[in-house]
Amino acid sequence: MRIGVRFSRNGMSRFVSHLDMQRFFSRAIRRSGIEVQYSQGFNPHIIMSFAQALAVGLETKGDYLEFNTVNDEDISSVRERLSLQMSSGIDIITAGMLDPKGKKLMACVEAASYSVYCSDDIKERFAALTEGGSYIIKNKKGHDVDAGQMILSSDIMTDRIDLMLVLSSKMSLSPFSLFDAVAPGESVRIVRNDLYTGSGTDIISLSGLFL
Amino acid sequence: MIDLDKLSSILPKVEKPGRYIGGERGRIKKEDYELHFLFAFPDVYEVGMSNLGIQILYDIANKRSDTFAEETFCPFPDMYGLMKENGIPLYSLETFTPAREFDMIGFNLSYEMCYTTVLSMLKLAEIPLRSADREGFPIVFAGGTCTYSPEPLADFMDAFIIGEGEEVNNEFMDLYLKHKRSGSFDRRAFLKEAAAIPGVYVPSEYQFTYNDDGTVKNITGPQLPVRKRFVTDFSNAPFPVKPVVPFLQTVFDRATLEIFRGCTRGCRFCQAGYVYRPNRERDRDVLLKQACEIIDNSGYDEVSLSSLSSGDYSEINELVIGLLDTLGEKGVSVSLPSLRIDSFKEEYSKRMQSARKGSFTFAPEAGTQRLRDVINKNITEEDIERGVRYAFESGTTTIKLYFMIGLPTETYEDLDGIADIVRKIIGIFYDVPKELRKGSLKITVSTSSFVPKPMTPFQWEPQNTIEELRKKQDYLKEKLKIRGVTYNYHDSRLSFLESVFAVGDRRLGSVLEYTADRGAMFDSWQDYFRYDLYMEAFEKTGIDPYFYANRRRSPDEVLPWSHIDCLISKEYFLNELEQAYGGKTTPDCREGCNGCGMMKQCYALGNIRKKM
Ligand code: SF4
Repeated sequence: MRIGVRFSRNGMSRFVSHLDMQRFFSRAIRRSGIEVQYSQGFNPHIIMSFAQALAVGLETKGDYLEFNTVNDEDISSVRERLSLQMSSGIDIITAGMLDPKGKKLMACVEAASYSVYCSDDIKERFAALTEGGSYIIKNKKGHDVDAGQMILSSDIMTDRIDLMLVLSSKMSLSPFSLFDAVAPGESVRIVRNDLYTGSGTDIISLSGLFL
Repeated sequence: MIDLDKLSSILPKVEKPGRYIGGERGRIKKEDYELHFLFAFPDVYEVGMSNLGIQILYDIANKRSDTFAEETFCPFPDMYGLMKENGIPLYSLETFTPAREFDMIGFNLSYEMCYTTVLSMLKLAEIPLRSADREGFPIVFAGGTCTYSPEPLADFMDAFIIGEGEEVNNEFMDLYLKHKRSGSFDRRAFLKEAAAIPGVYVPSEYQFTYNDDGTVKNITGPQLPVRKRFVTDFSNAPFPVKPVVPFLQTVFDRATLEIFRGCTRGCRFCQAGYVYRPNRERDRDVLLKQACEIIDNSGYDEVSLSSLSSGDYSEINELVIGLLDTLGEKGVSVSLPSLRIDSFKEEYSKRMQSARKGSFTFAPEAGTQRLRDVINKNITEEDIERGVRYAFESGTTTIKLYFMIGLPTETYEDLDGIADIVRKIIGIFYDVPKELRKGSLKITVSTSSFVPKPMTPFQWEPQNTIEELRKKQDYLKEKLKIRGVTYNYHDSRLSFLESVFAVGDRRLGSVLEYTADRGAMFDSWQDYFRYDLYMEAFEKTGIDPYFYANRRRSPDEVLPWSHIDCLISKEYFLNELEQAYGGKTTPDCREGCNGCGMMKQCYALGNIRKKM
């Protein structure tokens, strides 16, 4: 049975690296006793994949991973058993069955929504810079990218900015890079709210793929 | 609690921020307690989290309902610098509490070259370095193998635990609580009373006088000697079956079973081999049960057996078979870090992790049988030959060999012997039928330099000078210029300092303070080792390091650790030294008690079984 899990992480656990998150979830699954599928070969490991890598320092309320169980399982029991194996700051939000023939979650992701908690000053700078629609910044690799094109929507709220950014295998904009450009040297708290698939008006949360 | 926002703002700037965040599965949280205890490990997180001793003591302390024990490690230099800059003091990983707010801080000392790291941690904690200046601050003490010769840290530690902390720590904490509960805690009064607990050494209660030639004249103090403590019922001694499971990959990132403590072989250079006596085994059934519990609680997929020489466990075959049978179906593999190939049935060796990883390790320590007899390393050329032949036939092509240079009585012929062994191994490789060999042969030869350690028969021996060691390394470099052979060696300057601090007295405290004040820490990490700073410190403090490292001590001398008793008699050590010079070996204790002074406790505790 193909299972998708939506999880959150906050507090200090946001500094766990992606590789360490993978190790953490593998061990959590092993502890839970849920029988899952392993890779073949010399060093068998749990076949498990994340919809997206989580950057060090990023909080999330909507990240996903998937794995396959050997037997059919009761989904609420899977969720409970996994929940018991979490660690401080990391929590299971929900679990659901996925279409066994569907694309990997990893291949579905098209966008991500974020909340950026920041001062009014940064909000103003953000508004000013993105006004024109086109806005060139340097990405992590040092290349120039047009951030404007990759901001699908932005809403300035009282305590934060809510953003929807492009996030796919072809193109992506890291909110950290964006705010490094908006407010260099200032650290802002960024929370990923959810991951999405589809485009335009058909855009839906990945949890919408749970059967 | 420290300022978490500030901490969060520096974490993105450091390497592996996961070292500094706690929150791992298995980390304890408590609300109600009277005694707040901090375990401090003077190295980076990944190294400290792999230390079994700390895990055991953390578990024991937290089993007490009156105590909450937390942990801290030394921030790596990048983080250390940023913490200083931002005014963040050393803190605990469970509750982010500054170290200086704890009641007690217990350091683990397993290696002499961690001493400056200990002092750096105290500095970051904003705790006065010297015990005498610490009024109003936590009790700072230390345990671990270095406490058998603790003097270089005597000025900085309020107390040392001699021997195994499993029992002593509890008595030490009980006494602390008694004093704390009395309403007004008097540091001096507590330490005075603690100095009477067997196994507790309170250095400020002891006085040293010196002779004109610089040797120790006399030691006075409340317990003379302070006798080591040890666990007698090892099978039933507490062991953590709910370990903290790190996010980061640590040095030993797996479940660990301690199968026995002690060693029956009696290698004459090995401090651990003597101070961990008597030999004590843990029952196989207990180990199998612990293994299952640890695996269930941790989610690890590998179990390793820990001891000084795991192949010597009396029922090693049955144990490994038992582990493979019970855990194998859960996809758990078993690995033996110090595998003795000769003690294994082949079929099981094949199922073992070490075979899978494709490399075999041997530690002959010396290149000739003569020198191996001197150091009592009971491994023959035939053992090695048999081992590598088997390794090659089962598809291994990587061999790692460990030797020591600078051993007592060593000559250049013994160094030639190292090259001979290597050549022999190459010969065996090409002897093995081609179909069985996989790829080309790789041999790594590593040499460490002999460091005379207290509580061994070689404690009176001088160390080779840095120049002598370098010459030997250069000689081997030439000799081992062989295709497929890599030669590694330890920095002889580091071995020299290790030697100084291993046998040193309390006058060395000023050297440590001088270097720590100038930022020395992580000395054993090549990139951070500041030899010149140490030499400057010796000069400034007027202390002659060669007096400690390169001088032969006389058997009549009062050694700077003669107030500490590891329960092995001086006569036994002297006799072993004589045997060494005569090239005579001492049999394995499993062939019969050799009368070391532990009063046959190995046998009395029922844990040693005679070799068939
Ligand atoms: S008491 Fe006897 S058997 Fe035990 S370590 Fe000493 S010599 Fe060996």
